[in-house]
Amino acid sequence: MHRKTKKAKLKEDISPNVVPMIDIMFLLLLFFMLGADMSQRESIEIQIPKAKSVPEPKQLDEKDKRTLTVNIHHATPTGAPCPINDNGGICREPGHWQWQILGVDYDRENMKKQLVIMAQDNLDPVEDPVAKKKLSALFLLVRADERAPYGDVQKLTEYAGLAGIYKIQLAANKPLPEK
Amino acid sequence: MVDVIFCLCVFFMCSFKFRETEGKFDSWLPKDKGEGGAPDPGPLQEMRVIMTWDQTTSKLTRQYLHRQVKDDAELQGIIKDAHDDFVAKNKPDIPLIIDGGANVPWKEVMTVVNIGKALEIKNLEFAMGTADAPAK
Repeated sequence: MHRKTKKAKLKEDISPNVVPMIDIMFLLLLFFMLGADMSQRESIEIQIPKAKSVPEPKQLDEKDKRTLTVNIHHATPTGAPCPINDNGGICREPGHWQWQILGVDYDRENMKKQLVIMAQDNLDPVEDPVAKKKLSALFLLVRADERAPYGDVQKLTEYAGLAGIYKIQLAANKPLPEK
Repeated sequence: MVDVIFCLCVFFMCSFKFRETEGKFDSWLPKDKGEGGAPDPGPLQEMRVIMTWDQTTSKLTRQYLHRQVKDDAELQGIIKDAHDDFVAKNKPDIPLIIDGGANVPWKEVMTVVNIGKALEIKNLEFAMGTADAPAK
């Protein structure tokens, strides 16, 4: 009689204990969920140039800065593929390089107007003694694709200067350390 | 439940991507130049890198003043020598001017900016409105 109950108990213990596995799975899930970036971003996925000497962003300093991000990216006006760009070449077709703020593409004239509006909305309260006028406190972050024409960055900077935005920042990727 | 968690794990693992750290170079525009400002008398001495892009051959030409430069290492060496020379003459503020054509790829401009920053040159300037000339 005693032997029988011992056998029955042994049989019950055979089932695997999945609790530690579930724990690990939960931890993995939590890690990947927190690591995933699903927020709507100002910066679109473009190949920005690499620069070893670019300073890394300081989170504390960034909090107080009002930054307007302009992306310069390649896109044909009709959405048709561009064989030069798609094959890794340098495309210089007029109208193939777009200027974008928060997912909206602007043509040159509208960007000029938009910069003026943004600059006026963020005016420094004090008149600048050198410029002898109120300048904008806004930072303009230029995120240009590495194959974008320099002329576009020049033009954008010129428009920013005319609008009173003089704090320009140029985005670059810090390359991953070589193994 | 375990199956669902496993599927979620696989989904997030597949969509996970390591991003490179994105930094930015600060580049303040001059307040006393341009529209309505005083005309720029121009620096008496300068370090100028001229870049032109030939679209037909997809070829970049770089010059330091009048000297043609082959690669980044040579350019860095030339700029370093010039900068050291100006520092020795007590003129560390002589600017490195990046004079690029409108069609020059942005990457090439940033390469020169990177060289300038690596050499700790404080004064970097961008020349505006130079036309591209065909590479020789």
